[in-house]
Amino acid sequence: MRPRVEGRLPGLLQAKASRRGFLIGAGSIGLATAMAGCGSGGSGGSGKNGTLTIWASTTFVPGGDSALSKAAGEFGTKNDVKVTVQGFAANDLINKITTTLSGGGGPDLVIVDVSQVAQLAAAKLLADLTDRVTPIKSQFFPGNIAAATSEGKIYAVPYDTSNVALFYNKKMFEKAGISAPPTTWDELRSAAKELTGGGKYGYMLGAKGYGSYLYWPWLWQNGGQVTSPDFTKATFDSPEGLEAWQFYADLYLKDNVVPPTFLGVTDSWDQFLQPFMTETVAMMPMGDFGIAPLTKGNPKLEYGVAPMPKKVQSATVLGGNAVAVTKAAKNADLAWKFTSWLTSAEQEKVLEEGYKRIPARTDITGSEFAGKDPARAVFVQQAATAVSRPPVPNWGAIEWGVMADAWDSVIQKKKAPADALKAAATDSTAKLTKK
Amino acid sequence: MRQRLTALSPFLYLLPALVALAGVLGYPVLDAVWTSLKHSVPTDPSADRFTGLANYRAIFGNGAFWTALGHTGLWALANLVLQLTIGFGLALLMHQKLAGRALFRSVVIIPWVVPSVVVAVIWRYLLDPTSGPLNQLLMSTGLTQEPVLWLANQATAMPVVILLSVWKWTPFVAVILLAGLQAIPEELHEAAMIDGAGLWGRLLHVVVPGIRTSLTLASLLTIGYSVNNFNGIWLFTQGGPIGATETLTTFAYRKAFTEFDFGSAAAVAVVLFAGLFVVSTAYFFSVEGRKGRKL
Amino acid sequence: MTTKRRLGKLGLYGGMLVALVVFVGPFLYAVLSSLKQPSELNGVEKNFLPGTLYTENYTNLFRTSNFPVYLVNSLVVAVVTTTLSLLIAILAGYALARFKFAGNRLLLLSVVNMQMFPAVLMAVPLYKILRELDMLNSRTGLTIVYVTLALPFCIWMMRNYFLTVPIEVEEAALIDGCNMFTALWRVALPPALPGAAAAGAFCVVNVWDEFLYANTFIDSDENRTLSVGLNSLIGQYTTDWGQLLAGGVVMTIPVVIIFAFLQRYLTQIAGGGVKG
Repeated sequence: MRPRVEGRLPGLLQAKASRRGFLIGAGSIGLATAMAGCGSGGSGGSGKNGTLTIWASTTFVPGGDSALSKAAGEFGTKNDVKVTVQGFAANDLINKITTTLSGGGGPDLVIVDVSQVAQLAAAKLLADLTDRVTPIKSQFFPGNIAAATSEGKIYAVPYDTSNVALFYNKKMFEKAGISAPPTTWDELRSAAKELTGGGKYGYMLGAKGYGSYLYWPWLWQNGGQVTSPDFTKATFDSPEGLEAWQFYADLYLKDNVVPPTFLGVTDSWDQFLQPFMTETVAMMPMGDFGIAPLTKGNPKLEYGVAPMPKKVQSATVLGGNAVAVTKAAKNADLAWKFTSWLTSAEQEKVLEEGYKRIPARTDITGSEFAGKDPARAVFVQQAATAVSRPPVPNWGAIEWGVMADAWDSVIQKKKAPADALKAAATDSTAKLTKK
Repeated sequence: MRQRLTALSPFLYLLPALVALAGVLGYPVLDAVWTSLKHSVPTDPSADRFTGLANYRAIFGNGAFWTALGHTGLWALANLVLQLTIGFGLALLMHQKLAGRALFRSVVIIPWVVPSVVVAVIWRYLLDPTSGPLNQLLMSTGLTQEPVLWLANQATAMPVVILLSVWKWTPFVAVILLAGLQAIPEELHEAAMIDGAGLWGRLLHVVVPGIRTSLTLASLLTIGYSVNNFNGIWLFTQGGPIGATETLTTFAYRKAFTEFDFGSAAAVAVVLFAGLFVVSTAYFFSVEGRKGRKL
Repeated sequence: MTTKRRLGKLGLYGGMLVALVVFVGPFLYAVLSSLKQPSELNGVEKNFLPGTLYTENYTNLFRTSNFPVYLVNSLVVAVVTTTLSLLIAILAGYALARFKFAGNRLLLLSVVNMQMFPAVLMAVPLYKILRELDMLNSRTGLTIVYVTLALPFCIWMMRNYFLTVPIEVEEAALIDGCNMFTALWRVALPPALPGAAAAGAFCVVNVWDEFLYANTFIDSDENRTLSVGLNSLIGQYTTDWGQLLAGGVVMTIPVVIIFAFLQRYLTQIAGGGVKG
């Protein structure tokens, strides 16, 4: 029996009750279809000889099908191994790797930015590959090997390499009557001044970590060093470092050759290259990863790429990614087999064709791939001498924390450049010695 | 009817809820309190050791903690004041018998139902200093000569994230206050009109007392949500520039997931929770004070 | 008087317009911008409004990214979460509203307070629990967490609703031989359904919005939900605004539709059944 209910029970509600019933029904259908699953990045093989899971940033695995997944699938089919590739947002990858591996789960292999290898190694999350890598060490650029080495042990195999060179707008140079890209600090400064005016600017800078990352070339070009050889003391506030820092900051503070929007470059290289792409800026320091978005975003742009200018010496900063085996790898031999296969000469085509990136192998110098594009040739040429940042566990906290804040406080005119740098060096030293 | 019940039956009804709450909320909370009393680095479980109040001493001795606490206070207060005042105005609008009221009510709440990640995408696009339409608009109308660096400038970052949070949450507050407005009997308004009260008089003597409970609830929820709001800051500025928008939640997250110092992170969260606990308990007793009185 | 009234009306419509521009304008502009070409979005061409209706951002989203998978996952998790939360909350809310027992108020206080714990910190303990249960990287594990997170609010809501239902009807039902449990579903629940609808909407919005746990507990693309899925479309070197905006629009539409349906019960969704 149903007693009459006091209170309104509007028709809509009854309709909704049945709509909910329908929703639940629909939901279970949805559940069934969803459980059927959709393929994630490549897998192959029967899994007879084991399984491998690889985590990388969305740079390599942008969802859907990626070159890396395809390659991994090939490996799987050949060796009867089930290989799964997962992509994560770049700013998230390291946290994800750290929490998952600490929790006892996680992937067998990771592909991470070279500057993050030391941090993962210090957290005891990576397998020591010294014995396996040493025999093939000479096949890779020394800077990339140095970046993958922490406290004397090698924890990763270099995958791709990148560095920073000078992009310049040919049309704007022509208009200003400058015949060749600058090769020294002084030439760069006077060219930048020449090119500034009428809403156009000569040179591009970044804020936050983009600012600290692009300071290192200036420091090295002036003969300075980031830390002491044993990585226990920050030395970038040496007289050479101070001079470089002052020159670098003055491009904006004194010379005004930088578009003020650079203060907003805090999240991506896209923001950094946007003024150059829209021909608001005539020169920018940028990695080889800038070529693709420029081509895509403004195909009509006429630009050239030149080596970084020098002062005492020429120098540029090294980046790129490396492949590491984690402590979660149940089958270390299989994980190594995949790592050495992926970083072998035969598989260079994955990086070249799939991602337009430069393999970190020395045999790339003088290859057809290197010569195909004059812009790329400059980066390949610099790859052999590019300097890696100190492989220390707290590097992220220094480059994207202490130094990023120091740079921001300078460009937001909160602190004098010299004071900010000295304070940052003190803080960085504390980070270096903190265990 | 109550005499028909055994003492056990309420707990049978409550059992599924109790199991879920104890397991998925209760245990983690206790685990966090316990973690805050330890040196805990997830990447090195063997180094776990009980350190008592050392983490608390460390954070109280850390200037950055106090700065973040100050920012949290400012953030919560600004959110509270702005959301309640604007929300009250919005609620009054939603309450009027005007043409298109249903549609107005449905669309004006969009910011509240838009997921935080989407809010971040939309506004980061709008505010982008290099290609964002807002700066293009301002510059083309000549209001500004140079692009405004909304989120990158130390001076403007905090006000901007506060306004973005107000944008997202004000409709929610308005809806709570609307519930209060709808519950005010029409007779009260009529009586006040007969007494010759004008618009302001009615607002002051009928509306405000009438929605007192909703106001209290809205204040409590706003304080709770703002203080714990992590996405609303992290997805825009990550606590930057130069720590200008660092609140206790971003501070705790950074401690946990960039420094992997779970002990200190837990201590920060416990301090945060303790403060909120006091506020919400006080609220509970002020509203639930008299037996049988509904929230 | 009439002119005054007319002016007042005008003022109100003016206020409505301002509110719409402020609260809906940015979203509408984002919808328009999702129809812009890449060159308009990156500032190479300075068009405030899209020059042509460019739909490729949407086709790309569904063709080249795993967005459809994320959408299905979010729907599944939302439906299951809502159903379970409501069932559990109806039982618990009813007990809190109708039974006198030791600890009733304390329990209610804990339920209210449980909403106040910083989410950031529960990620790690919850992670450990899910690992023990072998439910990491599964939608089941995520659903369990979401159900529990939604429970405090839903219980509180249902309790307040049951309190508004006159107890006499249930007593009559009991005298007619129903037991308490049947009386709950047959007699007490129907008038309290708006509360259930409101609580359900709250669950859906939560699932749709939640980012931190979905990000921490889910590893593989085929289990990702929308928030994390959209975030994973943000690249290290490139930001494809077109795709992101299109994704944001697609993500928002279902929630807006649900709320348009529930417009009448809106006030309960936020108010937790507040009456004055």
